[in-house]
Amino acid sequence: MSAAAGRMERVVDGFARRLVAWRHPLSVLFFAMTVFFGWSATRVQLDPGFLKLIPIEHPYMRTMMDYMRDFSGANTLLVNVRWKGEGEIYNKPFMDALQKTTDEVFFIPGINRTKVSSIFTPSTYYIEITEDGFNGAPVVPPRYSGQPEELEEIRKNVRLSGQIGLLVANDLKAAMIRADLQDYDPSKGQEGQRVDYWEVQARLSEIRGRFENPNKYVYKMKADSGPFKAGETVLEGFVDYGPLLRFNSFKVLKTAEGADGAESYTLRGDELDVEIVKNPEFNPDIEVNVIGFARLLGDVIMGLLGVFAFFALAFVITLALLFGYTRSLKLTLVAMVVALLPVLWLVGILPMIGFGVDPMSILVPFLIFSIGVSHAVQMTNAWRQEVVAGASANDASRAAFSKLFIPGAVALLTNALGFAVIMFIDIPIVKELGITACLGVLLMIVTNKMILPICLTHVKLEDYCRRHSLKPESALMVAIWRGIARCAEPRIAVGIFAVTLALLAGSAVMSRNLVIGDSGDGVPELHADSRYNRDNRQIAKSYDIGTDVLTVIVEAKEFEGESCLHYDVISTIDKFELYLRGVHGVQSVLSVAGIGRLIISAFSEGNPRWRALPRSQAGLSAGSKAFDPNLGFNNEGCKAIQVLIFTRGHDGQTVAHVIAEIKRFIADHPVQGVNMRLASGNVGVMAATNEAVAEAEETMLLAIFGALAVLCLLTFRSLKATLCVLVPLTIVSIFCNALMALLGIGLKVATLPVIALGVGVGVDYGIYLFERIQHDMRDGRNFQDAFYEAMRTRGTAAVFTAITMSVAVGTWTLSALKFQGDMGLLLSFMFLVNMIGAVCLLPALGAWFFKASAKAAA
Amino acid sequence: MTQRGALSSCRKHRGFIAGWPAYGVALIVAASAVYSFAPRTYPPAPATVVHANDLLVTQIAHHGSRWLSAGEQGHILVAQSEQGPWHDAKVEPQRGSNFNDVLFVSDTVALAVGHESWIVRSEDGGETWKEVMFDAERSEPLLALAGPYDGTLFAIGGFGQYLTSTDEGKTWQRATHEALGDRHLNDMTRLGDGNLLIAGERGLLALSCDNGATWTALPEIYAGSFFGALALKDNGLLVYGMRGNAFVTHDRHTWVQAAVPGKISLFGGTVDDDGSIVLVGENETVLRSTDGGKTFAIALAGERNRLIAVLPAEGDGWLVAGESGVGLRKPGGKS
Repeated sequence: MSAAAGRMERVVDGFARRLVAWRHPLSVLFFAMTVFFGWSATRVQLDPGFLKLIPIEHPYMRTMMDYMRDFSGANTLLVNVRWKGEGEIYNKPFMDALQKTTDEVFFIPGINRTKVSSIFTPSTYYIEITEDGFNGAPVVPPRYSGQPEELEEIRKNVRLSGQIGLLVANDLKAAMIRADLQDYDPSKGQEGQRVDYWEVQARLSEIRGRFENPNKYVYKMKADSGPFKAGETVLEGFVDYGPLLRFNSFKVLKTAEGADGAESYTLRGDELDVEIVKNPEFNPDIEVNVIGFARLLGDVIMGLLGVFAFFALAFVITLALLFGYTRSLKLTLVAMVVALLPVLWLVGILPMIGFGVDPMSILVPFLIFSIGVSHAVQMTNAWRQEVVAGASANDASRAAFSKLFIPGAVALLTNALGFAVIMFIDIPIVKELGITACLGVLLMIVTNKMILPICLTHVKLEDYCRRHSLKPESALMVAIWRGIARCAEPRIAVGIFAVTLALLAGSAVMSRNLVIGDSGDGVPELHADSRYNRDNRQIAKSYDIGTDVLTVIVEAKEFEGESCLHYDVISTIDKFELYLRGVHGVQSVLSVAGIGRLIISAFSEGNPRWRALPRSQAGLSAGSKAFDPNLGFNNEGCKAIQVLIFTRGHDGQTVAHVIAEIKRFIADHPVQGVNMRLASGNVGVMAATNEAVAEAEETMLLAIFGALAVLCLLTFRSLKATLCVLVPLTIVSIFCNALMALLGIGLKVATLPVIALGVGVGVDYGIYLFERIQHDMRDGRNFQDAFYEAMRTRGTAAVFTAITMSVAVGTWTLSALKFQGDMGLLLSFMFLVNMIGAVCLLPALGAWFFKASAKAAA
Repeated sequence: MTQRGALSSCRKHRGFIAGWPAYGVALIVAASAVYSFAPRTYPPAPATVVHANDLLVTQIAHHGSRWLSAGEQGHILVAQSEQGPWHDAKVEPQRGSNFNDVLFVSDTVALAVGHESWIVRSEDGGETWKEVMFDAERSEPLLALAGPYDGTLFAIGGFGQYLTSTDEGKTWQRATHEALGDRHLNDMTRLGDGNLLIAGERGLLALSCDNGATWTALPEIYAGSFFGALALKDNGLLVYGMRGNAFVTHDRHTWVQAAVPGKISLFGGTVDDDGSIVLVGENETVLRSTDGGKTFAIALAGERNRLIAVLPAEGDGWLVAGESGVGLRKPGGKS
């Protein structure tokens, strides 16, 4: 055992010598790499996307993907125009605004134009039953011009159309435009191209600004460019970009002289002058609410801009803490620069492996920076101790490398492992997070363990720092270290066990309240009082159909002709509909069966006693208007039919209950040739995500703890040492679950990686400390003395690191994005408490584990 | 060799014993982790049941302390009070067709009829129902039950369906009447003079003076359909139907068209204890007339759902049923 350790030390020493000897050529190489990655980093792009957020391998999501072309899936946009003035919506200013907005939505690139609906689209019919049969016509007369009698007619037609609660608000104070975004834009050629979400959200902002913003922005060319002349007005808009204008680009259509058609030109914001004028269309009585994935993405990206502010804040705080700790400007700067290197390299690598930055992976650079600082602190600390003890910069670098390479590399490998197990989660965005974080940590083995020692060979420690370091430790510090070291006394250790177990019992019970999925309403990405969530509430409260929809796809492929005309098919759906209306958590249900029955009763003079499904094909064909694929409830021939289930909220419990009840219905009602498949819609996505998360949780925990156990066993070759390191981590993981339950944070895509990240990073403290303890115990010291020594040499750095990292990720809690805030809070907690576990519980466990061996050694 | 081996194993053993508190903590932590991360279950949610306020209810019947609501997909709800709670009765076999009418024949016997000529019968006040008739091939529905009038029960429906029973609904006999043709027969009532009246499709009003043996069509007063007929306390007759059309007569020759606000179709009605006439229909409207049916005023109005049936409730208000289920409505708000 000790021979192997000695061999390892010799190998590491050899590395250290070569590293210092070859430092000049290596410096050139690393510098070249940094320049290259720096150049590459400028090409990194935002890469959000709807499909990245969902577990695409989950059976529910396969159902969704199979019918993406027939049904909208979950990518629906709702634009609600709300009248805040006197009376109902039937007035000219409102109707004009609604008409204008309908047109604008229609022309958003990527919109499925056949499925845009508002009372202004010709697909919205009304049916009037008279003694002679019934009349049907579009709700808004084709030649609408806003005359009072036309407004009265619209009022009557809306009532007859049955759209109140659907396209017109129940309180008659608002009307809505529904549209579906196709993730592939059919207008862009056969293959289709992904929807430009940035452009969609910009267009939505314009739609809102047109009526809500008192100002209008007129853009003029600063200088001649292409077909444009200086001073030429090229664009008008309703969104105030402020100082961010320069980062935007605009597409402008222009017919060049002599050319046949208009061509599209892209103008950069910095080419334009903006003039603010009064917006003639501004109407304080009109409010525009927009919800849907595209709008959400826009708001999330706006929230992301805040990330740069947190990064700056975290950087400044770290800088101050680092200087306070090292008392050397040079060391502080070196540590900071070296900690930034893996961030730069990582961002440089992203475009090369085809990754971009998304709302979740944007947090990785923070994490890498924090981890980088923590390792840099250990290294500079060891180097300073050597230098102060009289070594030259070169010798100190070599010694620091030799001492820290093993624990540092093991710690980084465990970090990488922690991030790698995140890839078990079958959701692309989380996988990418795992891959980027894993990559970043591996890069750090090069930057921290190789570049940092090389940099340090060039540093001459400042005299004031040397003097400060030579000062004997203050009485207070000695008292603190002595105090902490007493944790390693068996008697004190028993007290620590008692406190730990009491906390553990409480947390374990509390942690059972942890909810998988979201808790609360509104979109979980944003805070409850964000504009998006306010819009969401506004729409949910004034319409019958909520914004939380779960879709079940009913396949009926084997039936002859129109499947909806087969009683077996349609009555199953009808039964399903009634069953669902009785399920707790379901607000309303829409399907061909209910609509078909309504139409059949309309054919029978509107008598609701005829609102039933006839058993013959001839009878059912009376309702065939309901089976028109353009209504969006079924595809051609009713081979697939979607049942829309609107749920009350989307908290984990509601989603799980509704899904379980649907599964029960499907099991209890087998019908030959009819296959009911879960699930689409935003709640379908959540159900799939929740199930994927629940499934991944166990795998992920077993993987990370298993891998850590193996790594610790390999490093320390001792079960006791492994337990000393892992037991505190396990406890903190339980604490973390309890904290989540307490704060009402659900276990979801954003919070699932937290435990893996927290444990992967938190294990560092234990590894650094125990490596030192083991070293000293091998030299014959007892556990308590070895721990005191480890605390003195590495403990300060560990404590300092924990505080720095907690503060750095703690800045995320200021984010406009709720999930970033949640992640920041939990990680901050994990980092800090893991450190406390490492300096209090680890020695307490060690004190008992090594009690006998200490006596034996004595 | 052996001695050294024994010593080392003894030392190991002693190490384990000496370290027991630490091993104990590790074990407890492992157990807590298993407990904490074990698959989580939610507290049970309320069971899935048919909601009385989210079911198409086509008729309500009341006898003594029992209330019945029949409607969508073969559901019959039972309550011991007009305020509910309502629970699902047992219908065997459950055919899944809609019921259109429900009626108490005696204290314990009740009948319900619906689509596919479905007739079910209960002998325990509506808790369990047995099938009397069902014909999946016959797509025309039975729409109304009437009687018993001098021991005869009537079940009428779409396309001139006309059935009678003289044994409290155990057996039924079909009949056709030329005066009724193949029109939809929507409702039947007995007038103060003992004559029977059927109201139906396309202005059909037919009278029988011999307890249903023969029928005579009355002269047409309106081309649209009548959905119901009410015998009034003053021996008058009120018929009502599509688009706000309601007519009153006292001699079956002269009809007076009632003044009805709005052009809403009327699907059900009742006469309150005080003699005032109540009609219900589209947009959850409840209309009331206190002048014998000459003029109606809106007593209650709601959203877009249709009301189909109404019964007077205790005190102020009515028990109504329709597309949004069954429930009490009081002037001045839902309750």
